[in-house]
Amino acid sequence: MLDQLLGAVLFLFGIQSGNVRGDSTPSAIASSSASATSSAMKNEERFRAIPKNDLKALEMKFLEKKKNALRVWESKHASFSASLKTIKNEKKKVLLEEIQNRIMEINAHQTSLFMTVLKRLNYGVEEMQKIAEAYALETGKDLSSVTTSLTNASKAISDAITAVTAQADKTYMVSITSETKLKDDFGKARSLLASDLKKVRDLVHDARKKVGEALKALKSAIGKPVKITVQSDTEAAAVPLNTVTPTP
Amino acid sequence: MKKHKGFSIIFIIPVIVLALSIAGVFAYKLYSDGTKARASEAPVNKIVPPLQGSKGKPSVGYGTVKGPTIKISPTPAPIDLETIINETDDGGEAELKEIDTSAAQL
Repeated sequence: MLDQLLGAVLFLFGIQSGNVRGDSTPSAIASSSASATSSAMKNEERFRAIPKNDLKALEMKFLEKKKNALRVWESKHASFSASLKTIKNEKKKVLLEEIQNRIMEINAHQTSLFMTVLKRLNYGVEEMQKIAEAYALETGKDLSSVTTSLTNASKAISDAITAVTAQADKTYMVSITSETKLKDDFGKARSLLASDLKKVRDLVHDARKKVGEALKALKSAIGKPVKITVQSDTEAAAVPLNTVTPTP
Repeated sequence: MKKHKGFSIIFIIPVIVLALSIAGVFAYKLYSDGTKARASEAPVNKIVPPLQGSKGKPSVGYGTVKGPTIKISPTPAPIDLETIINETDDGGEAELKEIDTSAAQL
């Protein structure tokens, strides 16, 4: 009772001490340990609820779609070559064929780049989760803000991977109408590819943003800087060459 | 008998001689070091040691040089997650602009 009175007086003067506020009373200790246990339980549930992206399966699907797009392109190439014959100018004919090939290459290249970024981001999310779980287990602190942001990041990565996979399956053909309208014909295919890639890019950007938010939340929860490194080689990302170094 | 006050000349002369000899040694060392450095700069009769652990013959004139090969590590450097987060994608804009210039000739 006297302790609590003294604590109240000191509190009025702006002095906070664990012992004088009555925190050391048996009931306070019991309630604090009970809350720590319950928050640890909640943390465990929350960590379990974070959706996991099966990257191996997702990447297999992506590669399959990419191969499929190539098959479709090969099947359409015959009709494209036939329509090329309607062009009398040989120089334009060669140029258009080159442009058509480049359009396909750009889509394949960009989707591969997006996939690489998403794989790295996903690895980052997994490592952040490991760090957060270890910290929660050690301290028993409530990490709901971290788990929420990790869930958002994981979902954003999943959405972006779905979009990238769908994009990899697409083929863009320049449909030739007449020799005088070749620029317009190319323009249609070009603008369609650009707008589709922009949509996917926005989703990848959103995934980056969400992972950034998760990292920020983790840093503020732990109260010290966290450094996660990802192997730059995409194939090696699955190999345990990656290192996680929580800096003191 | 009258006693002399201060340092006797018998003591001062050896001290002076000793100091002069030490200074002489230092001066000679500085001089010889300087001449050695100048001599090493001159490319006369300079012996180049052979490459250690090298294979093949040294190149004579222009042609394919066969010699030790430098192996670059296949493992690329790791990237910081924050760097990946802060990267920007152009969504293929640069590549599309490249074909725009070609398409201008259509």
